[in-house]
Amino acid sequence: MTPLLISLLLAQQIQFEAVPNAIDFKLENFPSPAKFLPETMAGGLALFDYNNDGKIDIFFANGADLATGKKASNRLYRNDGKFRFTDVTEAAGLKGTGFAFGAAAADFDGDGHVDLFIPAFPNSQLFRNLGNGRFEDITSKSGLQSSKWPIAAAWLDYDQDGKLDLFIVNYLDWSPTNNPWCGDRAKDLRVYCHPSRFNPLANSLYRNLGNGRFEDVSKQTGIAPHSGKGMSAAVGPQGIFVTNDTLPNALFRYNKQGAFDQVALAAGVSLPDSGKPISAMGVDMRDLNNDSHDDIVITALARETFPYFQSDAKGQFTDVTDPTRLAALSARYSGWGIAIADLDNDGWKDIVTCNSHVNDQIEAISADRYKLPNAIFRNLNGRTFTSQALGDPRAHRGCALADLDNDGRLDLVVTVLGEKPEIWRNISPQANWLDIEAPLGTTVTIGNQTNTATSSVGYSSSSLTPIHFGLGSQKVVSLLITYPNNGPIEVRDTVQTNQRLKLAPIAPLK
Amino acid sequence: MLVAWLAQAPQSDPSMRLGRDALAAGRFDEAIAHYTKALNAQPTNPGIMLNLCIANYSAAHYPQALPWCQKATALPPSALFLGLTHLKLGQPKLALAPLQRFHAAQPTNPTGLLELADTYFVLGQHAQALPLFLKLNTPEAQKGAALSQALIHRNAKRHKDSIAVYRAALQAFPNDARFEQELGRSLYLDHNYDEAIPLLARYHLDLELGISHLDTGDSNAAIAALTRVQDRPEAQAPLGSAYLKSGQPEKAIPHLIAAAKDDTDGSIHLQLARAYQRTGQPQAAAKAQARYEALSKK
Repeated sequence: MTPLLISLLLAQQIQFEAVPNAIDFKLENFPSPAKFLPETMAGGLALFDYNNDGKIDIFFANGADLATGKKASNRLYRNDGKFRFTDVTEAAGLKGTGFAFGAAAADFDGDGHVDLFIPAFPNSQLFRNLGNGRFEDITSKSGLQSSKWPIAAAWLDYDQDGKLDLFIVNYLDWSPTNNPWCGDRAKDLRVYCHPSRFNPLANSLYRNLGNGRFEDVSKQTGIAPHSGKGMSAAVGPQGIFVTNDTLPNALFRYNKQGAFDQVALAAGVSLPDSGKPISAMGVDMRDLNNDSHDDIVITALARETFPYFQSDAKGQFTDVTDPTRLAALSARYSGWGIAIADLDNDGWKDIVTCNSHVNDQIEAISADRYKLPNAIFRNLNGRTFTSQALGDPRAHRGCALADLDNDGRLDLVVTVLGEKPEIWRNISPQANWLDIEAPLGTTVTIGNQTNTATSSVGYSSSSLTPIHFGLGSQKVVSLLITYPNNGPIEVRDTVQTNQRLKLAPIAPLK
Repeated sequence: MLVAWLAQAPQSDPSMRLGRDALAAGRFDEAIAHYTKALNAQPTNPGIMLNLCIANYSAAHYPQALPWCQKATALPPSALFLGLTHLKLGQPKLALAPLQRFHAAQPTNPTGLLELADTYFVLGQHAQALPLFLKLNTPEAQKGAALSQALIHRNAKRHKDSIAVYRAALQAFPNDARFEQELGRSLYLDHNYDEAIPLLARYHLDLELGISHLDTGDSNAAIAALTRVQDRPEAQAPLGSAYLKSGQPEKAIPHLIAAAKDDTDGSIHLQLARAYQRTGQPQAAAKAQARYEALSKK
């Protein structure tokens, strides 16, 4: 590589700086000699504006001692601007119960205030945002009770009735009383059991009936027959994609007859090109090569690479992990959280992954590393990637992106087992951008870029933030907006960049 | 060895001479008495035992003959040379029993120790080889001990321990080719590809090298290594996989077909289905995918 090329690449690097001590939250996973499986699965978070002040706030799910039931409080931090945050958990009533894994944020009741679903063991919780800084626990009357182990969730309006429904990703049939000894007895080395030791579970779909009530429609919608070991879900025009740990992934596509078809195998996303199941962890589903079709990238363990499935116009995917160099760049990483977004506003969405192995004893039995740095994979014109490590090796878990300081650049929040989270301020060179507040499911196209308003992202996390576009040198752009629920298609010309544009929610067609 | 042993068998023992004369004259009971006396003076002499075997047999004392016949054939040097001959003929399994007998008779004999240890090692019985190597203090035995120890770890999938043994051995025997090769293999098995790949490349361990490249996301480098061993059955699956991943499905197909007969989990057939799909062969793709579905449900 020539010196000129090296300096050009360095100049174009995506740049973050750590914001130390911005938040005093500590992710408590209560590691125990019993190696309870949930201990290593903590760490989801949600980025959303809980008080409608225009600044993105941060919610952290937290663990619990599974032997004693002692709960470490979930935490909500209000964004006061300039990377200052205030813990408002008590006032918000979001301390929570049980071992919480993450959060799914959305305004499920359409009252203009973002609500929270928190997947937790043994019981998840649904909190309704009252709009006065407080949340009300409406779990018991919501109909969302389940005996399964949920690990992530996603909001979507699958039946296009204008009310957001809830898809819950269930993991496997572990419980404290079904916790076998796994490891090397000769070395007295106990490790978290491999998922193969447990039976799979089906995911759950709850239809929003209104008035804070939900109905389990998993059976009638075709979700229930498909068992897996779900880790995360991404929702978009392609459907609901669920990563399964050591089993083939699932892609549920709505068939317009009130049910879903599981089409992952036919669509080419059930497995990577190796033909073997991997420890699929987090997922994001967005268009990486600017062909207007959402692609899928998932995190996995070392040597499994972070598979990149590229979609064509027919919804068929091709594994392009090797040709895009993502295989070579990711093969040594084990990842959890992942987000696809334009981090340097150059018009190409990049990938950030938040990394660590799942097994905290892995270094005793293999060359793999437990603690790893985060990684940024910069998208070079949709054809290939370069990578850079971000931060020190730590036990990273969930992560999500949002513009925390409203400067048009997406910042990063990462959770770390047993430690404070990492807050990364994006200080990449300025370029033009546009943020669009729109109802979930709205798709916006600018030139050859397409992006969709979603909430669930990465590993058990939510990023309910405006649709973000990096626009390079473009000062004025045209928008093609496709509203959800068979809503209208709208064209807006001569839209100035470098602003947050708010689109009015569209009522569903009757 | 043989000369040394013969020197321990003086022919001037009068009991031996008297026994031989009695045996030749058909006085079998007398011969037995002389040989028994001679054996008291030389209790491990197989020649006397053989003569006791013959004398008892000739006297029709078969129950008495049997143990002497067995002992006579079990003792050196015949056992040692029988074992060595089998080894020279590439028959380590057949060498083992006589070498074991020789070692039991002369447990400190260095030749017997080394040859038996080597035989155990060649047969993959590293746990049996190791203590024998450790009794010797020659460089050859030290290497054998290190290799045995490392392979015990490797077979137990304790690759880190195996790597540690090889690294220590390379301190004692720098640049030893065998240790470097085996270190490369253990690093490969431990998935420590960054360190394994240079060693695998140096020693042309192309199958392991190719799979290492495949696992580190470099399918083109994998193809380069695996094509050098493409006649080996075990190279077919990774080579097919590398071609598919690198976007050359047409080249993947023959290798995946060759590997498909050993497909136990369906993964080869799924790759084959994708290769057919990407080369415009939908019917073949559907057939391969159906086979994948059947195998993966097992």
